[in-house]
Amino acid sequence: MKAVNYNIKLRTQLMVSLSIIAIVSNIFGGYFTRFFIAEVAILSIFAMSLDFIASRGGMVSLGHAMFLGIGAYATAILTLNYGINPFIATLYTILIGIIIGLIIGYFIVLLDGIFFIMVTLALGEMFHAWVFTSEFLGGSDGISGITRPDISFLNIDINNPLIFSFYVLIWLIIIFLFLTKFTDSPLGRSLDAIRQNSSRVSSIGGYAKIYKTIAFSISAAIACIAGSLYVQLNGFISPELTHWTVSGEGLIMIIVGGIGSVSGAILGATVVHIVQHELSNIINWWMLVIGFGFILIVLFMRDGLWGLLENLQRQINIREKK
Amino acid sequence: MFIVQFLNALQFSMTLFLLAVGLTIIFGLMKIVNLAHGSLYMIGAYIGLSVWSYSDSFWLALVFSPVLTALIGALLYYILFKHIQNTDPMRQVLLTFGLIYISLDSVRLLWGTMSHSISAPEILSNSILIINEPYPMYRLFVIFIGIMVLISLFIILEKTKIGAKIRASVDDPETAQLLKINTNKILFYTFALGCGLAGLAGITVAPILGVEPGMDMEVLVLTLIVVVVGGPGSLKGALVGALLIGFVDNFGKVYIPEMAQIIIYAVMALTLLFKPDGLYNR
Repeated sequence: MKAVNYNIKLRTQLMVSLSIIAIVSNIFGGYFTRFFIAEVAILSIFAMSLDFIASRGGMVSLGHAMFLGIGAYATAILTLNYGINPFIATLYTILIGIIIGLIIGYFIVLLDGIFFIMVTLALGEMFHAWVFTSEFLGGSDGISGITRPDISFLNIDINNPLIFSFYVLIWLIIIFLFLTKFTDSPLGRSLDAIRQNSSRVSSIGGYAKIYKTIAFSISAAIACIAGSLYVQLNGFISPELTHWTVSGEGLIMIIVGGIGSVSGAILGATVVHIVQHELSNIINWWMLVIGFGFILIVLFMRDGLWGLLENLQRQINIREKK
Repeated sequence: MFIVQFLNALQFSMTLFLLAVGLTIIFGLMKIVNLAHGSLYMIGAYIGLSVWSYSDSFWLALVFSPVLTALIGALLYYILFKHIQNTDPMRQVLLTFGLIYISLDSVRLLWGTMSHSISAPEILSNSILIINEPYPMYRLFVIFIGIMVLISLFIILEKTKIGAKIRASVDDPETAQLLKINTNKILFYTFALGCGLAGLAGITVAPILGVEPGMDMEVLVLTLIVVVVGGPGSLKGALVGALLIGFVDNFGKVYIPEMAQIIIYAVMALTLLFKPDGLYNR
């Protein structure tokens, strides 16, 4: 396995361009566009959490929708049953995500590639099954009536889709900055080394298990944030959100975008969600087309859209030098 | 009451076994987790449905659906699986994930979104008394099929030359190739066989559970758990795992319905805690 490329300049350029597009279309778009932007931003956060462990620790999780669900249900319960401010609730879900991520991560991070996938899938389905039957969590109906953070003291109405999209975008940018900082930090480099050869890292005195557990819990916390924001966007949560296919689609997003580049995950989430949305508007059998698309992407897109961008930039550089 | 539940659990275990065998063989030989295995089960049931409604014969359906599912499996092997053997697990898994979407929509387009039912053949449609409890003959028939498959697989793998070759290719493909065993050919046949068994599971379950889009998802996760608990790549593991999960699931649903699902996962979690490679890792 080769090391993940750190083209920091391109990473920043891509993120800045995507943010500008989002901000501009948010300002000039209608109600629907604004809602869509918030949705894409939340999916991007989720995709980044998957991308983070897939690229840093070599952990491919098919059960991450569980953390999406934990974040969403925790927010619903904290705001509805305990009357906690939704913003504070989101902060709580980070803590919950870290704790649950540490516990689960401790037991599974050292599992071998395919085993890790199967076990995360089974764990995620366990959560899904529990949510589906739990009366406390509303069973198959889910929970509705979740509100957004109250910031009326600033004279701003967050229920305005324009404002809420910005709120989600701010979260997205904060998480992006955190993840890029982390990726470039010594711990991030150690994690990349573990992905490439974990026994070598252990033999030079690194703690593969501890590093991977930390990475897993950070990723879990980020997925929890995405869940918390999702439930605030829609106002309700249904168990469908925790189904393993949600995690599968998240993984497709990072393959489309390109694994390991952080902003590639955002690009992938944006592209996949737009295509999916447009297709399902046009035809009934969009899953058939999407399925073929997934297979073609897996077979032929080696480094995703990120790889294409990198090539493009390289060629431009060569031309400039001439 | 107990005997009825016991037989129900056994019948469910046998269905899980038919599914888990295919998945575990494919894993053992190729190190690939085929998430589309449940889809093959669904397709098997639908093929059976078509054959049954055209010919009005359940027995023809019982023959045709495993054979045609095996052919579909063979085709998939040539088009897709052959080419992804040496890529990373994430890509392999997502490729089979794409297959799930394709098969779900194909089934909806071809057979509609409604659920269908297949009636069991005349001879098997009655119940017989087992210790004063009436029990449907058909479920006994499913148990019988499961046991027959188990015995034939055992004989093939343990007593024949081709079985020895399969075991050699699973244990050590490189040495097997050195000994002039064509591992690719073995791989191809066992892959098709595994898919055929999934189709067999689909058609045998159809008279009990009906045929509907989405039936693949219900069994996929359970089958994966059976494979994880039993130990991927192990036939014995598939049997023991299927019995364990089948019985826990069935008795859990009867005695503690609200906890049934959780207990299955708890069994898996405990197995992984104490035996991280499954009960029968090779």
